[in-house]
Amino acid sequence: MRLPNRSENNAIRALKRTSHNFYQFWRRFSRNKLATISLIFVLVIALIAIFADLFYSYDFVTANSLENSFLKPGESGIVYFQDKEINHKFILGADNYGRDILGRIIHGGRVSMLIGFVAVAFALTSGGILGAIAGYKGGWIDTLIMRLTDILLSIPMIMLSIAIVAALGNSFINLLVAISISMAPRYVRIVRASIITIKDYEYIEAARCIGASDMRIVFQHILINITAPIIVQSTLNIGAAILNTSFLSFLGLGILPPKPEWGNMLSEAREFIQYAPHTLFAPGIAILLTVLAYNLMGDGLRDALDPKLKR
Amino acid sequence: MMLRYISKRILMLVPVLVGVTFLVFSLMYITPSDPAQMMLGANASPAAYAQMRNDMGLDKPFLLQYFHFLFGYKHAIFGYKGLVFGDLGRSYITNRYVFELILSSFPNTALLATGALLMAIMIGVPIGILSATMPYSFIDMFFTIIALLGASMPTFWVAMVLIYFFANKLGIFPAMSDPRDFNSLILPMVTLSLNSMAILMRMTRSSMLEVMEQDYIRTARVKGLDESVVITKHALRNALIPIITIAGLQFGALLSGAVLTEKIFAYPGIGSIMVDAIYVKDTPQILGSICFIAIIFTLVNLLVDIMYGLIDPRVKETRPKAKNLKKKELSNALAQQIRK
Repeated sequence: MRLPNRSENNAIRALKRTSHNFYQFWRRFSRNKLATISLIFVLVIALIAIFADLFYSYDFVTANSLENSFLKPGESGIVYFQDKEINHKFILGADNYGRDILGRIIHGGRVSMLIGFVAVAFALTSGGILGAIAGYKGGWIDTLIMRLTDILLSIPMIMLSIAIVAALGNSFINLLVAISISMAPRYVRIVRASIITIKDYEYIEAARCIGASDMRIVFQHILINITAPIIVQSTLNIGAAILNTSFLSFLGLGILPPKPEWGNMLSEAREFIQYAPHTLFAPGIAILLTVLAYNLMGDGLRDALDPKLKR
Repeated sequence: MMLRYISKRILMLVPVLVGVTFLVFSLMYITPSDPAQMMLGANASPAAYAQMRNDMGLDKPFLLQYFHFLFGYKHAIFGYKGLVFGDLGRSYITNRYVFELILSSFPNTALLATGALLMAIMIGVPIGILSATMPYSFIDMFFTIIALLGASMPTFWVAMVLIYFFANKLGIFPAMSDPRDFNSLILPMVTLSLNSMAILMRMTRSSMLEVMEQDYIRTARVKGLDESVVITKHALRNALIPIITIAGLQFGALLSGAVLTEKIFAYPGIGSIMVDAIYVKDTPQILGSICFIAIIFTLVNLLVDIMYGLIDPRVKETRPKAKNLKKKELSNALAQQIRK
C-alpha cells in the first residue's frame, strides 16, 4: 500500500474541508426558502440577460414600427424588420414606437445586471483596497483615507452619482464610474472596521512572527475572515446599483433611448400613462422583482455565512 | 463636556465641507460644457470669446478659480461674493441670482421632506410596535413583506403608479403638485415616505424586541403591571432612542431623495432646480444646488448626532453607526422572519 505523500494529503484535506464548508453553507442557505427562490430568480435573470439575443435580437428591439404603437399585451402585429414581414406576438405589448416591451426588458436587464455586477466589483476592489490600507497601516494614511471617505459620504449617494454623470457626460462607462464611486466609500468603512478588529488577534501576531509579509497577512489571514460581511453587503449593493442605474436613466443621465434600459423605458412610458398603462407596469415590476430578489438573497447569505447571528 | 464634544464636531465639519465643495467644483470644472461659448453663442469671434473667458475668470488657473468660487470674484458683470458669503452670481440661463432661486425653493423641498418624514413616523413606528408585540405572527409577517417591498421599489415608478391610479383613474389627487395646495402634496409625500417608512418600521420592531428581552421588562411584568403599561411606559421609552436617530438621518435622505419625486410631480423644489440646471448645463446653478444640499445634509446629520448624545446620556462621543445599521437591521429582522 502506497501512502499518499504529505502535500497530496494536504491538498485532499483542503478540498474536503472546502467542500464541507460549502455543504454547511448550502444547508443553512437552502433552509431559507425565499432566499433560495431569489437565488434561482437571479440566476435565471442573469442567464436571460446573457443570452438575450437568442430571444430577441438587439436590432429588433430598437427598431421602430409605429403602426404597432401601444399594442396591448398579447396582441399580434406585423413588423417590417430587415426587409421582411413578420407576424409578431407582443407578449407584454408594444411601447410608443411599437417596440416589443418584453424584448426591451430582456435587453434592458442586460444593462442593469452588467452595471450592477461591474459597478459593485469595482467599488469593492477600490474601496476594499483603500479600506485595507487605512485599517492595516493606520496613522496619517488612515486619517487621509477616512477624511476622503467622509467627504464622499457627506454628499448623498444619488446626488453624487448625478453630479459625476453630469460632469463626465452620458455614457455606459461614465454611468459605471459614477455608481462605483458613490458606492466605494461604504466598502472602505466596512473593510477598515473589520481589519481593525482582526489585526490585533494573536494569530496575526503569530503570522508576523514567522515572517509573513504585510501583503500575505492581509490577503491570506485577514481578508479570508471578513468575506462574509463583504459578500452580504455586495449582494445588497447590486440591488442598489440596479435601482440607481434605472434612476439615472430615468432622468436622462444614464443610458439613453433607443437603447433599452428599464429606467429609460419608464421615462418614455411616463408621457403615456393614460393611454397605455401596460408600458408603465412591466419595466417597473422588472426592477422591483430584481431588486427584491437581491435583497432577499443578501439576507439569506448573511444568515448562512454568519452563524454568529443565528439564535 | 457636551459643549466640547459639540464644538469638536463642528470643527471637524470644516475640512469635510471644504472637501465637498472642492469635489463638486472639480467635477464641474472637468465638464465638457463651455460657459463662455454658451454666453456668446456659436458664431462668436475668437477675440470676443477670449475676452469673455477673461471676463468670466475662466482663463485663470484651476485653484484660483476654486478660490474665487469660495471667496468671491471681482468683476463688474460676472462678479460674485463667493459660496462662503452665499452668493454665486447669476444663473447663465435665467439670469436670476443662484441662491435666490435655491433659497426660495428650499422651503418647498423642506415642506415635502418634513411631511414625508412625519408620515413615515406616524405610520411606521406604530406598525413596528405592533409587530414587536406579536413577533412571528401573521400580522408581523405581513408587515415584514410590506417593508421589504417598500425598500425594493423604485421611487419614481411608485410615483407614476400612484399618479396613474389616483390622478388619472380616480381623479382624487392632481398629478402635478404645488406647495400651496395641500391636496396635491399628498401623492408626493406618500411616494417619498415609503422607503423611510419601511426602514422605521423594521427599526422600531427590532429595537422594541431587543428592549423587551431586558431584565427590567421582566421585573415590570412580574410586578404585575398591565402589558400595555409595560410596553408604552417601560419598553417604548428606551426603544425610542435609536428610532429618533434613524428618523433624523432619514430626514437628510429624504431631502436628497426628493429630487425624483419633485421632478415627476413637477414640484418647484431644489431637486428639480438642480436637475433642470444639469439639463441646460447651467454651471453656477448646479454648483450652488449640489453644494447647498450637501451642506444641509451634513448639518442635519451632525444635528442628529448631537441630539443623540443629549437624549441618551449613556452615549458620549461614540457615533452611532446608524447608516450601516438601518440596512443591516432591516435585513436582519427580515431574515429572522423568513426563517420562521
